[in-house]
Amino acid sequence: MIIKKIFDEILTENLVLNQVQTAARLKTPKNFSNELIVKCEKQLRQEINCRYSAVLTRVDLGLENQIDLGFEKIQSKSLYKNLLNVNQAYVFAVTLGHSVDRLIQRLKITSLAEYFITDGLASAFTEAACEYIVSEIKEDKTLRPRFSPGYGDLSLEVQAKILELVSAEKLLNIKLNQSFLMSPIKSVTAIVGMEE
Amino acid sequence: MKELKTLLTKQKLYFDGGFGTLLQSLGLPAGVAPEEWNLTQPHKIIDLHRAYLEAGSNFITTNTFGVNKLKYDNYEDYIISAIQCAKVAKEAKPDSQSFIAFDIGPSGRMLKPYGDLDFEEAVELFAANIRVAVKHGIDCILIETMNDAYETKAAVLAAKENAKLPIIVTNAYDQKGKLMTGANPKAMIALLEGLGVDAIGLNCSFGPDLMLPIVKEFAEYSSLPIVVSPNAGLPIIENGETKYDISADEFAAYMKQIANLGATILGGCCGTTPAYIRKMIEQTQDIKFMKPSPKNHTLVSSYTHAVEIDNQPILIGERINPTGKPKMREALKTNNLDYILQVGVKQAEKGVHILDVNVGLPEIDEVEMMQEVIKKLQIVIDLPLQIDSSNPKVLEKSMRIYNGKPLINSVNGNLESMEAIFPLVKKYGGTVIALTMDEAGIPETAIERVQIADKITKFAQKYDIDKKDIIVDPLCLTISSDTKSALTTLEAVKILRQQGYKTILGVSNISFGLPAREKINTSFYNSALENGLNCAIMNPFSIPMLDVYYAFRALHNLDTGCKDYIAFASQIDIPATTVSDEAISLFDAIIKGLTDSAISATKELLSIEQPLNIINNHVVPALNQVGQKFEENTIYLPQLLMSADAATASFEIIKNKIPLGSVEENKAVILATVKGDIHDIGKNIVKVLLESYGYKVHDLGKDVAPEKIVECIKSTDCRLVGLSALMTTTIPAMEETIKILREKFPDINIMVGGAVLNKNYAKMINADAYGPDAMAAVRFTKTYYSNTSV
Repeated sequence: MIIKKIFDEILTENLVLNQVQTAARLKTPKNFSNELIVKCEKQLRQEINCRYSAVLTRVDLGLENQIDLGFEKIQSKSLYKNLLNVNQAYVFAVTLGHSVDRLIQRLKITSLAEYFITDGLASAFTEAACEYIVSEIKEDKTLRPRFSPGYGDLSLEVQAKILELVSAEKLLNIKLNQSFLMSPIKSVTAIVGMEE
Repeated sequence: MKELKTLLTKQKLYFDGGFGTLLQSLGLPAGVAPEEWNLTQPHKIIDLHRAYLEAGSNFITTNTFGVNKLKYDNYEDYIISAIQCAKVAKEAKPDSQSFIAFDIGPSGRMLKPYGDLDFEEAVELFAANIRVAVKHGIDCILIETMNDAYETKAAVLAAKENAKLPIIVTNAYDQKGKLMTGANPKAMIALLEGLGVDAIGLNCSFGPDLMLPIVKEFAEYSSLPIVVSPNAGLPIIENGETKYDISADEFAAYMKQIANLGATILGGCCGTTPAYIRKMIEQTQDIKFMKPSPKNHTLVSSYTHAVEIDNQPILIGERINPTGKPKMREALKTNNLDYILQVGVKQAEKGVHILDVNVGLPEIDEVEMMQEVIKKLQIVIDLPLQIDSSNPKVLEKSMRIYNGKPLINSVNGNLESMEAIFPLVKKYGGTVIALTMDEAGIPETAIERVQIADKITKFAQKYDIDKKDIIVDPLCLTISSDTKSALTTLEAVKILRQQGYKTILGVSNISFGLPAREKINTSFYNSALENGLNCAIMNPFSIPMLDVYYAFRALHNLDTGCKDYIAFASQIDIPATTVSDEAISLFDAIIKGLTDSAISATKELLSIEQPLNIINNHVVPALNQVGQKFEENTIYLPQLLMSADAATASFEIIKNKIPLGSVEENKAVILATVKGDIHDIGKNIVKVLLESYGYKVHDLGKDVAPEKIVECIKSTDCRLVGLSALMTTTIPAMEETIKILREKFPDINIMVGGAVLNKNYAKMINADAYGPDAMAAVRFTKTYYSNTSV
C-alpha cells in the first residue's frame, strides 16, 4: 500500500558533492582540484535540473527471500537481508535531467578532459542528490543503506516497476531502454528501508 | 470529418476529464492498467463516458492512452473495445456535437539518440494504433501528455499519414514551462503549426493555476485553437488514496481565467471528475468565443527553442558546407563526423542563431549523410538548422527526421522547384528560403526580383503556406562581374522589407573573385542591414563581420544597454593581450594541459621548425613525460586528459602542414565498444590519447557488432583492434567478437580494456593484451608498430 508520495525539485545549491565520491569518479586523490575541474563543475551546475519522485510503501517479507513491496513481489537475497525487520520503505527515482546528457555529449566532441571530468562530476552529483533525498525522508527514523537495482542479486528488471510506481515517466521523464538502462543517463532508482 | 475541423475554429468545445484516477476510485486495482477494463468491465467505461457527456463534454476520449503494440500483442482488441465503449456512450446521447477522440499517449520509450527507439519505429508504433482506430470509426485524433517534441512529431506524422481526421495535440509542460526534454511553448507552437495540426495546447502535469503563464504564451504565438486540460492540482496521498488539492469550484474559477486568455477548447486531466467538468462548463459557457487569429511570427525551431525572425538581425553560420573548404570536403569523404560537429559547436559558441548544413558532394550519398549529420548535430547543439540542398529527396528525408521546424534552403520561382518543395513544407513544416530566380534566370532589376517573390508566395498559398513562412533571398551576385549588382540587391532588400517580406542573403557572395573579400563583405553586410535585411548567411569566425553585427544592434537600439556589444568587445580584447603576456613553450603547454597556449605555441614554432620535428621534439616528449608522471601517480587522469587535449590541438595544426602519409597515418588502430554495451568513455580516452600520439584511429563507436569490425579491418587493412566493455553482461559479446576476428584474420592483434576486465580474464577470452588504463593502450600500440613494418 502506498502511504505517502513526494515529488520535488532539488535546487543545485542543495547538491553537496561528497569529496570521496568525487575523487573516485575523477580518479584523483581526495580534495584534488584544478581550474578545469572548477570550470566544469560551474558549467555542469547550470545544466542540472534535478527532480525526484519518492513513494513510501509497506514492506512484507515472505518466505525464501521474497519481498512484497506492495507494488511488486521481489525475489532477492541481498535486498531481503537489507530490509530485514523493516515494515516500510521509500522507493525513489531521481534524475539530473536531459540537459546534463546533452552537455556531456557536446563535450565528448570538444574536449576529452572536460568530457571525462563532467561525466564523473555528474555521477557524483547524482549520488549527492540521493544523499539529499535520504536526508529529506529520514525525519527521526533510522534508515537502512540505500539499495538500487543491480546491487547484489537485485535484478535490473525491477527498475521498470520502480519507475512505474513513482510515476517516473510522467514526473521525471525517465524511460528505460531494452537493456533496462535509464535515460537520462544520470538517473538513479533506489529502495530505502525505514526502521520503526 | 470537416464538420469538427470547422467547429474547432467556430465555437468553444469541451473535453472530458481524468480517467485513470477515476477508474481507481471505481475499483480498478493498483497495478492494473485502465485499458484492461475495456475488455473486462466495458460497462464501467461506458458509464464514465456517459457521465462526462451528461456533464457537458463534447469529446469522448477513448480509453487507449497506454495502449500500443510494444505493450500488448493484442493491442487491436484494446483499441476496438475502447472505441466500442465510446460509441455506445455516444448513442445513448445522440447529440450532433459529440465526437470520439482517439487517445494517443506517449510510447513509454525514449527516442534515439537518448533512448533506443528509432524515429521511424515510433511513427510506425503510433500508425499501427491509428490504422485500427480509423477502421472502427473515430472523429479525431488526440495526441496528449507527450513530454518530448520528437515523439510528438512522430505521432503527428503517423496521424497525417494514416488518417484524414482533425489532429489535436496537447503536451505536458513542467513548472518551468518546458517539456522535460527541453522544448518551450514557442518551439512546440512552431513545430506543430508547421506540421499542420488543427488545435494545440497543454494538459496534465499540474493544476490550472500554474498553467496560466503558459496559456498566455500560447495566446500570443498560436494561430490555432488552444486546448487546455489541467490536472485537479497536485496529488496528495490520504490513507493510501490519491487526492488532488484543487476543488471543482476552484478549478472552474481558474478555467474561467484560462478561457478569458483565449483558450477555446477546455477539459481536465488527472484528478478531474464529471463534477469538475460540469462546473467548468457552467463558469465558462457564457464567455464569448474568441476566434483564433492568425499571428504573423516567422519562426524556425530546434527541439528546445524557436528563433523568431523579426527586428533583430539573425546570423546563420555557413561553415558546414564543403564548397571552397578542403577540410570539410575531406571530413565528408572520410565520414569524419566529429570534425563536422566541432565546426558546428564552434559556430554556436560564436553566437550564431541558426546553422546552415550543406553536405552536397558528388562522391558521397547526400541523402544519407544529411540525415546522419542532422541527427548528430541535434545531439550536441540546440540551435535550429537550415537544411541546405538542391536535391528535394535530401530535403524530404531530412525534414522528416529533423527535430523541430527547420529553415529550408531553398525554393525558387521555377515551377518544377515550387512543385517539388512546397508539398514537403506542407507535410513536414518549415520556413522556406525563396530565391528570386525562375526559368528566365536572375532578373537584373530589383522590381523584377520582388515580382518573383510575389509569384512564389502566391504559389505557396495553394499549399496553405503563409507569407510568414517564406524568407526571400534577392540574391547577391559578385560585384567583380557586375558593379551594379550590390545596389540592385540592396534595393530589392529594401522593397521586400517594405512589402512585409522577411529577407536573407548569403552576403559573402558579393565579393567573389576579389582580393581581401572580408573588407567588401563587411561593408555590404552593414548596408544590407541598414536596408532592412533580416538574416545573413555568414562566417561567424570573421571578427569584422561580428563587429558589424554587434555595432549595428547597438546603434539601432536593438541591444539594451549595449550589453551584448560590451560583452563581445571585451572578449575580442582578451586573446591579444593574454597570448603575448603568457606565451609558454609548446612542451610546457602540453605538460600543463593548456590548449590555447599549445595552439599559439605551435603556430609560432611552425615559422621556425619543420612540422615533423615539432612532433618529435616537442609533442611526443611532452606526452611521454606526462604519461610517465601518470603512471608514477604524480599526476592524475584529468591532467593526463588535459595534456592529451592540448597535444591533439597542436597536432591538428601541424597535420595540416605536412603531406599525408608522413606521420603515423598508416599506423592505425580500430577501436570499438562491444555489442550490447553503450559505455564509451574509456574507449574515447584511449582514442584521443592515441590520436595525440599521431596514430590514426578508426573509431567504430559503441554497441558495435563484430561484423562491423570485420568490415573495417577489410577496408582499412589495419590489424590492430582495441575492444572495450564496461558491463559484466557484455563480456560474452567481447569473447565472441574476439573469436570471430581470429577466425577471419589469423594475424589480428587485439587489446582489451574496461572496468570489468583484468589480466587473467583478458587471457581467458583470448586477447593479446590487457590495458588497465589508456597509457597501457598507447604502450601496446607503440610496441606493436615498432615490431611491425608498415
